[in-house]
Amino acid sequence: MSLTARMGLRRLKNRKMSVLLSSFIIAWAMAMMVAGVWSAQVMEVSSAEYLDDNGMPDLFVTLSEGVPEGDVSLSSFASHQLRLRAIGRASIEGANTSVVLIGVPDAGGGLNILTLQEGSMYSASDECVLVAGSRTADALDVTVNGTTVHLAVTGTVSSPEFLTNELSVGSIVPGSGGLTVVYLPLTSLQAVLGPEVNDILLEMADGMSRAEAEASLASLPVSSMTYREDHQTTVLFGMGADKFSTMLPAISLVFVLIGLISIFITMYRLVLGDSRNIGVLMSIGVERRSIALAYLAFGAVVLLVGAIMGTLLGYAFTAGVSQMALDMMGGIPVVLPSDPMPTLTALSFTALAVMAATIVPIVIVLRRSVNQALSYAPRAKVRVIGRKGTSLASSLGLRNLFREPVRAVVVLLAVALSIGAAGSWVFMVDSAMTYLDDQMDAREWDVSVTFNAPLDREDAVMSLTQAHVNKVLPFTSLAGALSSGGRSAGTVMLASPNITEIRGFDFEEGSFQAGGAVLAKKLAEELDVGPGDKVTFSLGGREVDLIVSGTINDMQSNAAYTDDLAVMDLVGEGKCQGAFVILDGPGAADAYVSVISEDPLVGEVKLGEEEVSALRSLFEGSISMLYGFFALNLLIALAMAVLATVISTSERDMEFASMASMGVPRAFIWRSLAVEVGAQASIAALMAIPFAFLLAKQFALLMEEAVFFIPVVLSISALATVVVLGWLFIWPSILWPIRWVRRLDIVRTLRERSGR
Amino acid sequence: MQQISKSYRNGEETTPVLKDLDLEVAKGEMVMIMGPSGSGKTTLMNSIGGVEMPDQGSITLDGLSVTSLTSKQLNQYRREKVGMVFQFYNLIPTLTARENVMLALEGRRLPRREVRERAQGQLELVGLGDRTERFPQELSAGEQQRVALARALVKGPALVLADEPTGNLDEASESLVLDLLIKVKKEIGTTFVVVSHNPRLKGHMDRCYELRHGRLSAI
Repeated sequence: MSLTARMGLRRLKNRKMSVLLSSFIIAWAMAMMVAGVWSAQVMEVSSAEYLDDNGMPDLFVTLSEGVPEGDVSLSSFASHQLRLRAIGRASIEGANTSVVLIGVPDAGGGLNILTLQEGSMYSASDECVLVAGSRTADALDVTVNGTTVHLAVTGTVSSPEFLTNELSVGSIVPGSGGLTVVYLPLTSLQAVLGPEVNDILLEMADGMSRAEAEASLASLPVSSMTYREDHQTTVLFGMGADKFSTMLPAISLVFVLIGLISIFITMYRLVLGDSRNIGVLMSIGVERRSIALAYLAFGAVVLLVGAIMGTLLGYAFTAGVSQMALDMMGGIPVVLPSDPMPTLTALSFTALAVMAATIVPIVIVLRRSVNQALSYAPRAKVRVIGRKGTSLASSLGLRNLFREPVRAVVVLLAVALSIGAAGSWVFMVDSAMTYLDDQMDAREWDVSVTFNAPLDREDAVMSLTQAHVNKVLPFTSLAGALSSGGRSAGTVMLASPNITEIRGFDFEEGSFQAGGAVLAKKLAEELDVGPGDKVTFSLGGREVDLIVSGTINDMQSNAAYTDDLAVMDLVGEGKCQGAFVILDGPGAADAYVSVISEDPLVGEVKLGEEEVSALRSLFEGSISMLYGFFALNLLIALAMAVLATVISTSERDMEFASMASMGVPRAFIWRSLAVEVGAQASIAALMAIPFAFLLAKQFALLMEEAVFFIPVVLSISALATVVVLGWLFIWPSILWPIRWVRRLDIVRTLRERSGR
Repeated sequence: MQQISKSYRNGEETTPVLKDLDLEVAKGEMVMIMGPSGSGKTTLMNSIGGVEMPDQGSITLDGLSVTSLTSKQLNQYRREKVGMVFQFYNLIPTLTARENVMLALEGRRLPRREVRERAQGQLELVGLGDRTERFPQELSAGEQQRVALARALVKGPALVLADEPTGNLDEASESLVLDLLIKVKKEIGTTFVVVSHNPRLKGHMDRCYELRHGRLSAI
């Protein structure tokens, strides 16, 4: 090894803390990048494997009314499963609960395989299994169509159509909305409801087009057709993969930037502090290239340590993030594909960044002449801060913070950026919750009622109009496809003649026009349509043309709304699937629900308030991960602050030694350090606000692509959380200088630094 | 100082620096210690100043046994009993001249106003009454050394230890600082122990010693 390289490595001995911290920041950035790319792969592979292994159907079809099994001809499909589905009510854990009963044939054609989670599968006609996550009971007395069925519960299962029961129906995530989902033998349910089926799972034949599939179903009274690609389970998996592959690499770029800054200021300090030595080397004729190579050792060591830590952290992040995400998606098994590419890609990117941050300061110092390098002496650019009435300790702390103004600003920016990157999660969470509340406020109804079978609209209004009822608004909700100009997307269409009374619309574009359709903004973007454009809603081979009249921001990004009766009539002329009920006052809701629940025509009854709290708890659960990210990312802010403090205090050893030799009390030194760290924490935490807000906006844009729309808003609570937690996280950086000053060898420092 | 010995260890090797050294300085005296580089002058100063402890022997200042003090008491001793002046001044660059002097009174629990006035008074004594708000880098080398002297004197120490006080100064600054030391000695009666190579100082001292091979000899 050359003498200069040896010199460079020896210099690193005194920079262990800086090497470690810079490596940690770089490792974090690399790990984020690895986790982003790799966990997206993990999600894709795991979900594809799960769906294939568990017979995810290509097409889910719901009929608006039951048809005899013999009338269903599905020979053009590769395989199928005919089921009977009904909504009943049962008392579970003391609560009158809606229960979804799904009668499943013994031979299911390998579709929608039920995976046993606990207990055993049903074997007798009066036995059933529940979807995991349901409210449980040993036995259920379910009332359906006025008949009470006694069912013994033998176990819990999961299935591709209901990954978990804790998630909400009708939202973008698959689940039953807290309903109890029961699978039981088809014949058991047919014994109660008649020998019919109303629910079909299909596996399409190779090469079969959607048009061909829909044409094959034309003879059936289809009310909902959902293709595998549009099914909530697939969409959720896709969103998960997209979210991680876009969000995490984007965030990692912020940390790469912070890593760059940390390495740059460390390296700059190192070579600047060694300016005289460099001058001596140049004066005895050592080539600049050899000198540069000696100092490149710093970058190489940071890269080596960072790469090792980054690879391990990347693996841990990927495994953790994937496990957490897949647990949230019903606990499907994690499959970690062995692919070195994510690590190699992240490593190449970080290596480039590290070497650039290392080389630039070296070049700056090596461009000096021998004389300039030899005569270099560090000089503090002191600013008059804190004079009148400010204590000596405070003045010292504040001035030390800004003794190298450019570095101070760069450090503050880097710390603020890292707090901002962490805080952006808080802004997003807070905005999401606010947005959720706004969306819920747009709801105008108190009770939602779904009928067991489509009902005449006038009859529906009449049967639901009772005491304390202000208005009954019949609706039909259909899951089909919306297409325009060759583009097509799965959509959930809510149709009602009273659509504007069901919910408020905050238009992004256009307005509500009678007979027109209002589309969620993301759906409109997918179809590339806007107000005035024609779209076609298709369901089971039937089509309705609609003119888009406006777009709205909607949490349910595939939602569409219309008052066109032709859409409602898809379930039968003059009929509706359910109705929203507006009561005179919220106090009447419980009594009203208990009365209408007894009606044999009524299937599901939901209270608006319960829907809000269910959605809220769902949302809170799913975003708790974002808070976790917030706390983890604050560690980087702390690492950056410690690094800055290490660099700043270690170059002041002579000052600390002088003060100690004068007998200045340590309490004074601690106070000045506290002011310095406190000021740094305060300024950085305040500077973090715009970073957090802007990054949240950027991340929200990325999320909109992958998940759903969240308008980011600046709220006082989010702002306070970012500032206070950011501030608190910087404080531990004071521990290092306190420890360092305690251990400082006064005699040695005074002698070495004064050349004695 | 009685029977002071100090040696340094470097691996297996032990290098004696001070050997059974005795020295008595009367109140108000100005004593100079000369000696070649590495003779132990700074070790001697550090030992008297309570910065490092001798291996053997005792040091007594104003009846106080310095060598038997605890670490906390040593800090108080440095704060109240001795003032130190260094060759490279060792001023805090982020504090003004007055604040550097005020720093020496930290921990005395004096009213802030009194601290300011005493610092101002010391700076006027060393001829820097009009430079009190300047930062060290805005002062010449001689001015910085005078600030360091004011900082050492402001606490009213029993003893001022000056380690090469003129070692980094030009001739004009050197004579200014030297005049100042003599003035302080005469007017306030401060006791000085000065370590220097500078033969020009010799004539102004009450006594001079040479430190060689770990022992002091009068010259």
